[in-house]
Amino acid sequence: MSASALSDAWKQVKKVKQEPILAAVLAAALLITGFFVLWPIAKVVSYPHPADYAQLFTNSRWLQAALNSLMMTVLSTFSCTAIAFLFAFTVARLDVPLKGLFRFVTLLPIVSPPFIVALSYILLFGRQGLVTKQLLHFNVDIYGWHGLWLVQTITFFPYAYAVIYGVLQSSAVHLEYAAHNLGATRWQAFRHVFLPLCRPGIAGGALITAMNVLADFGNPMIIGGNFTLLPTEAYMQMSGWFDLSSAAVLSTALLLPALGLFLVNRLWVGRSSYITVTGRESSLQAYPAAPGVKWTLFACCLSISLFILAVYGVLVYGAFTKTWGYDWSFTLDNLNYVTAKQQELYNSIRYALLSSIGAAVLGLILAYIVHRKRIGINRLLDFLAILPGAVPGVFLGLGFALTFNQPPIQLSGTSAIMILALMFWNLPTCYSACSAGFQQIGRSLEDASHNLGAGSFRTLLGILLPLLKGPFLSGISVSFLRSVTCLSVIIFLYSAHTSVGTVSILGLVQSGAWGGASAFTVVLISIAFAVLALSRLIPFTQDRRKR
Amino acid sequence: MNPSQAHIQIEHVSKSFGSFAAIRNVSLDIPAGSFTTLLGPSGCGKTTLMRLIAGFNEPDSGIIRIDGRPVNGLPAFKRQTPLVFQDYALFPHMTVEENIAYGLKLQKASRNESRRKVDDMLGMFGLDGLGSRLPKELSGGQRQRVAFARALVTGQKILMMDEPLSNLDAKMRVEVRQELRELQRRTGITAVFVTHDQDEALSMSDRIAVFEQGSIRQAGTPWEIYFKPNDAFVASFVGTANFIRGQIAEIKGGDLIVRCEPSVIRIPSHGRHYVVGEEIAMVLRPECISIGADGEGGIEAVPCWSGEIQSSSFLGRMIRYEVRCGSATFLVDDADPSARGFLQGSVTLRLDPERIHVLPGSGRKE
Repeated sequence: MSASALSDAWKQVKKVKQEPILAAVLAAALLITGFFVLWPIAKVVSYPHPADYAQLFTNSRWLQAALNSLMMTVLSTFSCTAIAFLFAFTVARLDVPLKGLFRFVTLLPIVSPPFIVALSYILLFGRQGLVTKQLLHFNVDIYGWHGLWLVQTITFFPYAYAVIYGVLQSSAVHLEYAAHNLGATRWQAFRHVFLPLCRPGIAGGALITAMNVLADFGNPMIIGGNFTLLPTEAYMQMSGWFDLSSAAVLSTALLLPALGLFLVNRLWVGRSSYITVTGRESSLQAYPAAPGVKWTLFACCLSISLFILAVYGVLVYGAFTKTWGYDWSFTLDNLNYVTAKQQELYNSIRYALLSSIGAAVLGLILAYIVHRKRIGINRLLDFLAILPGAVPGVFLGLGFALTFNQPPIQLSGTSAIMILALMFWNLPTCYSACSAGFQQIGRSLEDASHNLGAGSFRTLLGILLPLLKGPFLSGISVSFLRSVTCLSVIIFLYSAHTSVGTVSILGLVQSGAWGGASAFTVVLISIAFAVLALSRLIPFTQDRRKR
Repeated sequence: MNPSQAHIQIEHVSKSFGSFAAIRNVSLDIPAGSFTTLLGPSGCGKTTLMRLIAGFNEPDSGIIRIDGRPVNGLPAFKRQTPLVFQDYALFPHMTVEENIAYGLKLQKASRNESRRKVDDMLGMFGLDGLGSRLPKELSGGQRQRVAFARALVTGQKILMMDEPLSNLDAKMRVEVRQELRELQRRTGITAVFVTHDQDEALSMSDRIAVFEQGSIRQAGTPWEIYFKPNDAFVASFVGTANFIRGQIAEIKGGDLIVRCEPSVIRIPSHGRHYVVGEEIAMVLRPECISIGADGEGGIEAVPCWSGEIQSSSFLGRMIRYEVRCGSATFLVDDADPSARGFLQGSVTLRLDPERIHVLPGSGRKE
């Protein structure tokens, strides 16, 4: 067995030798990903003195932060998954109106800054809140775990929704018909056939949510109050006491469960949900649900949707209101905050653009090597490309800060470190999009191209790249939005000259300038979407149809 | 080129994927200008062999020659072995014209030449007016014709086809068979056709190679494969076969007297050497047995077995009966059902000794 493995490895070495360009690209890819992914991780983990790690259990403040993180992850994951399933089931399976609204609502939190819900929440329920003060006239401290739970649920349920909806969509309807045919009632078919088939998808959605909740920095920063979590505590150690060692200890404590969730997702869910998705697609309509059930679910979805719309609406309202809670008159004054921070806005867009293009190009190259060149090193490369997805943003930022503040590469305070950090943070997104694209392109297309006389390079240019245009561009778009709205990664990296919009917003929130924060957020998102819309207008390749 | 010369030669080729031996020591000559079919059940290695010829995979051992030259190690894009893929593998982002012209473009054909050849192909395959469509805007049959046009446009002398008819409906499949055979005759190309459909193989091929578990069990003309199968696998995979096992009781002149269930039969030895006491297996096709109601008069010297009908299935042009004779069961076809109608109960089977085929080497196995 080991002898054949050895001979396989030898064959691969020979194969690579025959293609010197591939060998060079492969070496470069390994070097770059290793250098910018593995090294920063190693740096953070090895930075504190081993004895410092013991403090995690002795320092009651830290222990509390860890327990809080654990509690929030469990709570929010549970509620996110439940709501996501509710929405996914309603949209995928029920014949109800307003599905467009439901889809929109599940998209909104994904494309907006992660802390936007927290900000709106303050506007709605804070001391000067629209609901609490104006409607109900009571004063309540909303900072803490209740508020955070609600906010994280709304912020992160769309991630679970995307996964669960995909699985529900492709689940085998004819199997349910078979169950009905054998005498199962709707409820029995749901419990015995539908739910077991969806279980991997639901688990996958839950895991993705858990990873996001665990790594969340913006929401707890804004409304956590004294309820500190590992990411916020790490940030406070750094910003308050410049205690890098403690920040590293806390970040590492965050990394371990994140890596665990990530590995479970890759090894277990990744495999089992794959089978469900490749199942034969069915054009069968689902068996209609009982009217009572149907309209109950519809009502639930509708009320959640309205609430989410209110959350976003209040933000726009706040942007044009004089003094939230006291003076409700219309004003454009809040935009002054924005014009004062033009440099930050410009930085946000520039960094996001450069980092997302970089991530997409690197992701494409890695995906090509991993999927099309059968080389044993693939597994390592694949792992390196998706690894940043497992690393909480705060950890990655800290890693870059610690790694690139000294020779050989000294980047502290530069734009380069911001761009590189965002780029590698987005690499998994782009890489996964391109990987999925490669998987969808049937192997026979490439064989056909070779068969007609095209070499590897011609095939890549003429066949693969044109077909990958979609995933490539969607990777750029998602990365761009993520970068514009990112706070966690860059919070350890920005300097006076390289500060970005999200940092300014955080500053405004912390100083209680709700109007300014709202206005800034509205402007930032508007610019981001305007850039995206503009990029859609650029003709990447001419439409080849002449008919 | 000398037409009798082998165009593609496979010599002792083996290929494994991990621990799975897909091809085991296969040798096969594919004559120039012939229509050669690789036939076998799924997973038998027929497609793997085709991929080895096209250069998508390299054999672990053995040599593949095209026009007498070894092509081992030659990359797929230099082999000039156009292939029609099972799923057609049309490039979804290119129009019909662009798909067909792709190979010409890679050969750096001039624009005019390319234009002319593509138009020729469009005309030849009845695709006029569809040149600027995308593959997704075509019907299954049209897609298939584009795939053929793309493979043929460069004018290579080889055309390989990987179950190209499997995505068509039954009626169209039969039509395309004839068109395809006609096209191959007209152009004189060497066609290599992979299928698991015995009807396709029998109706189109000059030569058939029957695969099982990575080996060729028999290569020969359709006639040989059907009536003179080498072994029980070939006999039962191609067409329906009745197997009769027996022991040679006596050799009289050129004939064998075989003791078998339910009675002794006398069959010609066709000059082959047998010894008394040898166990043999014989094959008899359902249509080579005639069936009649019990007691219907027969000719002397033709063995008559009486049996009981177990079941029957009406197939339109014939009725297939399952008849039990003692401990053996025979499948028998009545090719003219309208003459007699359904038979029931006890019947008499008549076997034509000339048409009983003794499987070579069958005795040594048992």
